[in-house]
Amino acid sequence: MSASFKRLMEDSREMSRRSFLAIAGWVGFTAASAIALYQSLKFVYPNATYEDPPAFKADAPGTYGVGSTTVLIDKRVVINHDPNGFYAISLICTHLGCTPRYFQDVTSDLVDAGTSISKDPDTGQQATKASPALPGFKCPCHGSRYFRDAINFFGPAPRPMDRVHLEVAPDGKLLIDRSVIVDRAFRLKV
Amino acid sequence: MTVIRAALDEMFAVIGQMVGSVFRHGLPLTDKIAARTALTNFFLHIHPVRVRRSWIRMSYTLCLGGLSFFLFIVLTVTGLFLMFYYVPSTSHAYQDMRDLQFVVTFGGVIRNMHRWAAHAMVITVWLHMARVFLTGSYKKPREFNWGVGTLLLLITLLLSFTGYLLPWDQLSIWAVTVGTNMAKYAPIAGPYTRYLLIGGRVVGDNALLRFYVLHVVGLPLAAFLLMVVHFWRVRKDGFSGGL
Amino acid sequence: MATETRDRIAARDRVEQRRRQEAPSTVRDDSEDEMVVSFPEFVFKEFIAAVAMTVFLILVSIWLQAPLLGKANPGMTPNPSKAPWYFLGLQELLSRFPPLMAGVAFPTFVIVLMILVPFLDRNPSRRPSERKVAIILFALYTAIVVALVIIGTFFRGHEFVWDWGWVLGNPQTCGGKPC
Repeated sequence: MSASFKRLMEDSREMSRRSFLAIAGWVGFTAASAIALYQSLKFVYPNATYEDPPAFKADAPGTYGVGSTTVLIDKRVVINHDPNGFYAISLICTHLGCTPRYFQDVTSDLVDAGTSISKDPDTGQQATKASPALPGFKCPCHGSRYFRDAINFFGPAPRPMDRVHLEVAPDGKLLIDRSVIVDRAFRLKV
Repeated sequence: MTVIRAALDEMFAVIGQMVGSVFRHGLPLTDKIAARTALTNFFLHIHPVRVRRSWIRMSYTLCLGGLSFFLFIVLTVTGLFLMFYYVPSTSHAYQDMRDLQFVVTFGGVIRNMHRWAAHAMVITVWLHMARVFLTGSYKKPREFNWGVGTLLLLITLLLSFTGYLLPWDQLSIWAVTVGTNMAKYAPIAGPYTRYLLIGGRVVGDNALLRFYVLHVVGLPLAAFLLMVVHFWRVRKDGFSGGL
Repeated sequence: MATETRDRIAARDRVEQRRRQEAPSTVRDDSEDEMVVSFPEFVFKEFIAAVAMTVFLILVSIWLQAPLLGKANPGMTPNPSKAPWYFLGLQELLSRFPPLMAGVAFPTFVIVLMILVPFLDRNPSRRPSERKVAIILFALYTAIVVALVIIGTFFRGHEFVWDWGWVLGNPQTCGGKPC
């Protein structure tokens, strides 16, 4: 009786050791596979890209008259010079990344159609029946529209276009860094 | 004289053996011979040896599944041809497309065939699926194969989408810019997914190379594997035919 | 050929022969239920379909040029910018709903729903007359997809704004002027 019980105990201990090893083996295998998968993802995730560097130089500040809007199309950046200073817009639609285009008038067709257009929260300008035309940007992909200061007012765009940092470089030219996104109140006074 | 005759006899015997080693059963003049051929031939064995007439009625299947597979073959062959003249880099790709159109003999036709066959495949796969739905063929025991088919439809669309970037024209870059920006909106993993997919922040050289690799190797391989499973399941679960 | 296969076929042929001898008057019944050899009957049908498709493709490819616009230019988005037709339904949704919904959640939902169709449809019948609900739902789904594709293809003009003028593809001019 005791001998067979002892054997049963030994058997079950043997079995549990075996199943423990089996479980440990499968856990190890799963963990190793997960790590391998993670490493594979790391492999295809680029560490360095050879894209156009985000910072570049434009012309000297004096070139841009007060009230002007300059589209630097191959850099996808807009330089606005307002009476209170310069600011730069990253010309990438916040909806799905198309390049909006600048127009002298992005509002009058909406005013004609009776669509109510919100007031520009920064400049306070509003398109009305009396003066329907406001300058701004229209995106060709899904029809988002922005005021001249990059604030969206129509279409699927979820937020205003990004403002990026600009400063005057030692050689007197404007240095624009597209990788640094700045606050909407940012202005560069020259 | 007898020597020559003997040599000729030997030669004909050898030729006969050669032909016989390839075409083992002769012309399929009777059902028996045809069945043997179907049973032993690797390529024909994708079909069952015998089928009910109702299963293969043209008005029932419209041959849509078969045509989808055939279009996949057409796309493989024409795609292979195009690869001889195409370099996936932003400085070459567009010029290569112009060359295919204006310099390479029949280059334009091959490119057009690749393009239109891709459109046709989207249509045939979609219609095949509609046929399977309308005849209720996805019901037990074919639930699994319906799922495989759905994944094949998805891969067909992804193949089209990756191929869309390769000409590197204005149509390509903006379709892919919009498409990959969509991935950006996925919760948490979104921005990383986009960076991974196009290998950078903007659609450029890395994106072109990645899409090329996916288009010519990755996705066709996945499609091929799923197709093998799909056809195998059709054999094992039986033709759905006959309502 | 492996000997067993040959033996098996020979045995089967003998059985067949005996059956024929016992009922020599058996002829093909030509009904839908008749078993026919798939080769060459079925294979020939497929062959005809493949040849017809090849001829069709070659003819289309000779007459119809695949589109190729100007070289890719990250600074200039063509106006309007349209996806290939089979994605235009998605683009239409994207222009109306937030991208997380239209671009991520909705397509994922549709794909999962499609895979789950055999498990959601509890009706065991395959007769169209007994599956009215399934067929009506499918017809509705198809109609929505087709409508979205047609709207995207023909009724979306510059800036993807509604346009009744059948704007096909990507016009290269804006009111006569290049844009």
